[in-house]
Amino acid sequence: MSLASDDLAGSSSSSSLSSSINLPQFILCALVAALVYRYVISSPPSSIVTSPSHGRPTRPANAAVSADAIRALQSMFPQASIAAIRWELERNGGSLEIATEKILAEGSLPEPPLSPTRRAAQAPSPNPRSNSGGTTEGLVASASGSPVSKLGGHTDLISRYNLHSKLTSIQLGPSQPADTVFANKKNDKASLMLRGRERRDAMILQARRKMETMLRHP
Amino acid sequence: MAAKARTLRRLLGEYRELINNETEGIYAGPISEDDWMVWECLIAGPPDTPFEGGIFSATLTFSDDYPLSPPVLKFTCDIIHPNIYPDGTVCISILHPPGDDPNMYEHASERWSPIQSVEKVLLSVMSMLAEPNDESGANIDASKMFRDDRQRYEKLVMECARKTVGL
Repeated sequence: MSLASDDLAGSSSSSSLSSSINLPQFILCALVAALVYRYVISSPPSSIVTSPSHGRPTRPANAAVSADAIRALQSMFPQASIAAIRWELERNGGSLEIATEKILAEGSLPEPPLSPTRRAAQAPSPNPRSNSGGTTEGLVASASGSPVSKLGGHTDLISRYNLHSKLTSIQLGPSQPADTVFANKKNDKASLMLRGRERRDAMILQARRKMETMLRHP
Repeated sequence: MAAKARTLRRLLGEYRELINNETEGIYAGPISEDDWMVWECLIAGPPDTPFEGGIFSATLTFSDDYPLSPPVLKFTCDIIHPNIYPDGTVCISILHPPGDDPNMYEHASERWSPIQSVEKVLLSVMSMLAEPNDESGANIDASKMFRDDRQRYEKLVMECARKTVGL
């Protein structure tokens, strides 16, 4: 009898021992994690707020949003883009809760404002930062009945890249062979980008001509 | 900071490959010299599909830990396709991180991993244009139309394709 009760006492004390180790450890871990998290995301809110004229968040704010937080939100809400999640976290000070609630309430996150270059390429819009509804033009388009994603701006590439003048010039294909061969040997950023742009324009112009012939001979 | 430098190095390497070894039907490169994290891309509509002849533009947005996590691809032209969300974002397995499969039907090998590349993503999207995946509808209306009214779907697609080259 006494042996059995001893056993009982022994086992209960050992189980309470293990739980008394685990619980404080867990609390300590949680505390440390919370402090580290606060430390990582804490940065002056003034640097997080983006000025509407500038459009892009400043770099320090970018660094402050942890990749883990973005990944966690992305796995919960695959429909939200990484850019939108990053922007939201930057604005709300890195709070997953606020971001989650916002997505649940509105169904999506507003996309961050376009970079100055892209905005310049698109048609001027009276209010590019309308976050109120959280809806993009595409969503509006689908609500109005058409399944086509209308993304606004210069969707026509000829206008977007100012290729109208080149449409009339007849030469196409491997133009300026000497120049190209020379440029091929250069791999620095600037000449790579130059060749990239040329290739982009050539690809568009070639497609345009092909489409013109296709339409003439259906 | 080291991670960011690694990302930039990788992006420069991929860009050099893309420019030096031309792949038919795709183009990709940074929109501006100052920001290598956002690229513009062009994807030619695959031949023998209603997309043929169009050049579809998109942006690729890279995160600071690319290539560990996949880029986001978003079309910037009018487009209709069952696997493209109304806001232009593309839903395709190669852009999903391996650990994260909400629908549980993709094989790990089809999903994103650092051995994938911008070129492979764009080629996958090109074949996605040709063969929509009925199982994962991102644009419900387009999915329905693709299934039930193929003629109208193809007509709308052709309109989008013409529009991309300003015709």
